[in-house]
Amino acid sequence: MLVTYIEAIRQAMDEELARDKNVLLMGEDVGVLGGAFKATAGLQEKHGADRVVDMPISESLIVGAGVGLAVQGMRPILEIQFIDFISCGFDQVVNSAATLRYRHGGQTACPIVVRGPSGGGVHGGLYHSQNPEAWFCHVPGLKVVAPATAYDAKGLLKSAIRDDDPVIYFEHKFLYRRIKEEIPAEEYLVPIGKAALRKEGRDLTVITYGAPLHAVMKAARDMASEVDIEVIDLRTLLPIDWPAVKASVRKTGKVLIVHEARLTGGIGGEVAARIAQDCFEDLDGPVMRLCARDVHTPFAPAMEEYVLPNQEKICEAIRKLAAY
Amino acid sequence: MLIDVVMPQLGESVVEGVVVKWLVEAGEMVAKDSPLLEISTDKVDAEIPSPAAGRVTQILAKPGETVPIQAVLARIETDPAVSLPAAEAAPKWDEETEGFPGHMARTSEPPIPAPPRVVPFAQPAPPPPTAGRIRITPVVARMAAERGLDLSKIPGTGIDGRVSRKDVEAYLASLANTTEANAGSAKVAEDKAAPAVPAARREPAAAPAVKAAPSFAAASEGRPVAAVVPEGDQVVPWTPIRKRIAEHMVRSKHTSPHVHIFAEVDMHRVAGIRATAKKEGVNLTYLPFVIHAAAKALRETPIMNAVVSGESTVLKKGIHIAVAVDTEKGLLVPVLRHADRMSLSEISAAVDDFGARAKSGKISPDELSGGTFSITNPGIKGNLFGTPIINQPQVGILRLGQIVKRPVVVDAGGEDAIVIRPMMYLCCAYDHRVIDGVAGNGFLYRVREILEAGDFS
Amino acid sequence: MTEQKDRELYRWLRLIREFEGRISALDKQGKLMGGVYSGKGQEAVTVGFCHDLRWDDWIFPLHRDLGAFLVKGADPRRLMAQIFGKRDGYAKGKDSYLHGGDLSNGIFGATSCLGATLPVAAGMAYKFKIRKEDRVAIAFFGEGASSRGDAHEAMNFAGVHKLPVIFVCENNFYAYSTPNELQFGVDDVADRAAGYGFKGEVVSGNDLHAVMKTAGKAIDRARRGDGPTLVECKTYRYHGHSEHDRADYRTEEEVITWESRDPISQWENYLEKRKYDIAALKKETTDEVLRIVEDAVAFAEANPAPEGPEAMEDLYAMPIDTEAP
Repeated sequence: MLVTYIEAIRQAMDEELARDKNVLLMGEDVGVLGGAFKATAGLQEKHGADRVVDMPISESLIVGAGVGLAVQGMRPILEIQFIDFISCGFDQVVNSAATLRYRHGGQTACPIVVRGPSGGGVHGGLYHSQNPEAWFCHVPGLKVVAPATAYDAKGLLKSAIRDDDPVIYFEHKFLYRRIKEEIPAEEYLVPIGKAALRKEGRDLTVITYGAPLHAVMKAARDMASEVDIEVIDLRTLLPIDWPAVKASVRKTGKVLIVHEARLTGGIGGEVAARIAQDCFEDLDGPVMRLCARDVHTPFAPAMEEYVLPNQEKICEAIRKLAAY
Repeated sequence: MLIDVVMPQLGESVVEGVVVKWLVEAGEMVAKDSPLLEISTDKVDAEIPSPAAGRVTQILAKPGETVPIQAVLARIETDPAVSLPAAEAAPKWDEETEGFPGHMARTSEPPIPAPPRVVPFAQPAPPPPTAGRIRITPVVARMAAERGLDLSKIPGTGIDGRVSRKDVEAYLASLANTTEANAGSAKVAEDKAAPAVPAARREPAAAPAVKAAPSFAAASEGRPVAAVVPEGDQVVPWTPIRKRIAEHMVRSKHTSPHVHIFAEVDMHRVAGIRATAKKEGVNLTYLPFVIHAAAKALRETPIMNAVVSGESTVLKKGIHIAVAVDTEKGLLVPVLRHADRMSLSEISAAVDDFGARAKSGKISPDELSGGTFSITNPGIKGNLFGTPIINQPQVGILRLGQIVKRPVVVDAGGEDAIVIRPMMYLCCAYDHRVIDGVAGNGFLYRVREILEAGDFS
Repeated sequence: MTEQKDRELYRWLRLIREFEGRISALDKQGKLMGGVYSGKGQEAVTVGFCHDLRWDDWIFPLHRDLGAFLVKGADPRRLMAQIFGKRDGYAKGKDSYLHGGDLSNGIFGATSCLGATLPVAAGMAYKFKIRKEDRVAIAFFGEGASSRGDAHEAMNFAGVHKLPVIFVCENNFYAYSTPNELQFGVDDVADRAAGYGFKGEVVSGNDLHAVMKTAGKAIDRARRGDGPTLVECKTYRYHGHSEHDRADYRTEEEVITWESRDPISQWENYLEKRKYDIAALKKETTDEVLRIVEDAVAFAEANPAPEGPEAMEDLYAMPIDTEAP
């Protein structure tokens, strides 16, 4: 079945809504409109307005209501129209949902999924390009995933819906219609917490997730004659699959971490620190990071290009590290 | 001028659009902003207005066709008779003279002050250049410690001559290749077939070397071998220096096919010189004589004064004799540089100095490297003889045995006679990869000759 | 009203419509990259509230209020350059459309989190109050943003301190696709004002006279120190939420009904009945606004795009280099 990334997301929700009557979907314009990006097209018609709910412009409400539903055993999928707007529901995510089980001494679960389009490269400007995953990776009680392929988008979303803890699901809008991929017709899940080895190599490991995976893979192919690159797609950012990361680092001794979110305070810092601590004697070069520059993602194309990682910058970083 | 009509990107995730129908035909005249065609994307249907007035010269996409954003759909030739030059079409609008739209009275302070201009911080000075220092990476440090490698011998190909894992692997492979060409390559092949992501168990990185010395690789982890230590047994983890010695010994035995040959040396002339010197208040041991004799013989047998580099033998110009010294922490091997240019008393003084400083731990790393031949003297409790292990990458080593008075048969004026002489078994080990029997035996024979002749001028 | 003012108001309505019409066309011609949020059909709200403001008053336009920018004094060239993402836009290319305000003219740029400007307007009005400045702040928001906590928090605070702020709700009946009945349970957003302790008024947002009258009273009240007002203007956007929204969640009948109540046609009827030479005025105004729009487009197209490293500018008062060695 050849599907786009966004269609994979839509299918995951469609299948889970059909499979479990406790699943429901809430968000702004998810019903009649089918979502600002059409990720929920046709779902209200099929599953009813009670279960695919058009919400007021109230992100705090959307997440908070989701917590209330969850305590009653429902499994709400909460769409944030652009993930940039999750800041408007931040309190409900970090204080309400993330601590729900903990503050009740394990009496209840919080099976919510907060999902929405993240990422830049689409000239979306300051409020339609953000990658705020690091905010949530700092919050215990949450799980954070960021698929890069249509296969993972579907499998991880289904796993997230069935998970008993709150999952923040970052879907990269640059990939929505740029990826068309064969996925199985039969049902499958992708486990939360497992990284994917996308390419084996001996010389250097690139650890990445989300949209930059595609630029990394292309760089790895283009540079195959110069350097043998291993590529790890984290897929889940909380919890990170440390055994996969460390095994690769021990093999290659050189690591480049690539993510589209900003450098300072990003996931790459945590990954680099763990590697430095646990794999120090295996390192054959400094752990390097290629991330967005420490500035907002600007609108004008030349500036956006300057700020975000791209294949050219990835190749440059790989060459630098390979030569170290 | 030809103007392109392109597929617009109507929506951030949209990458393509479908041409629904054309509202104009090729050759038709169109006005600016008049509708040209209808398109449909995942998100919207839209009429595309003409970007310019003129004649539609080409229509490049058929109805029903899916084209990517920014692809050219049609071209329009702007007709000068229809479209005025830009300057006339868009005359300058002057806010001051026309007073519109800037009609608001600017009587008060500006709503906000202009932001202050700021100066960026000066860049910090670049770090001072580091000359003459060997640059390595953590994994190289570990490999060097595990294998007792002299990093100065490994050419670094990284930035600023940094020695990387690859360089060490290449170096080790070159060592392995020279000894066990067949076995080594088989092991490399086996290693490549191993899974790409190794098991979580920590494995040293260099495949051939590790495979060659598996027991060492396991022991180097610093873990006790047995999980349960019987009562009374004591587990003594190896110190770093012990690890290095262990690794070195294993590697040398593995690398060089040792041939051990023995000479029985009559030391009575040496003993005579010692006795004379003692009367003059100078305390000489036997070792400086052997060093002196060896240096002389090495000058005459260049192949013994050599080191192996990859698949080459490097005949060393200088004769630098490494002398093993036992210390509390383990064996140290300081080097007497240009031993062949030193007098007996200079050698003696240097050996005494090394002995004293080695015990107090004041030997500098520089004094421990660069030897071209080694001599080991186990001293008065050195037993009859022993078979020494070559100090890599050198090719030969001498070991002094215990000096024992023995009745020996000598030629006394054409007649055999039995006399009492201080005798010593001197063992020489040589690397049979590099040195053939004639050269090896000739060398040891020559050392014996010099010692027995007692000529240490 | 004087004839001169009647004509001036007409020119503003027409300028806004031509300006936005040109932007919609440029978008479909593939010349723009960002989102375009046409306010076509809502011009009377922004003209009515901004025209009689003083230069040192402040406005907080929402994402659809391009007209408010123009009337309050933004330079059409710089505004168009901003929409093109060019260097001389107010945001210097860092964002497009209306995110970069013209602070020298008291025009505050909004983020995309609608309603987030309301607390900011309240804070600013608080300063006007404590410093005894007879200035006012006007915060525009959609009926969708009325569901945001920010809107509630801002109005509550403004009521507590009787701040010189006017909350203008542009109720165009759809928040993207979400209709009023799924947005709030009251009949009118203006009903909420009672809960905050100030006056709420409902007015036809397509009737420029009605808007100006209500706006004038609210602005006077604020300037006098008698506190805030919530004004709800019922209006309608002809286009979708953005240019890439089909807007097929509403009926053709509904769109046509509202087009028959077009604010500009209504104003032209009025001018005609006042026996002005409407034909001459139309032609004169068309020429004038087209010149301004074409001049702005020519300026924006010729204006250089910012270079990559300019992305790092304007982030801090004193630059911080987090990538320094």
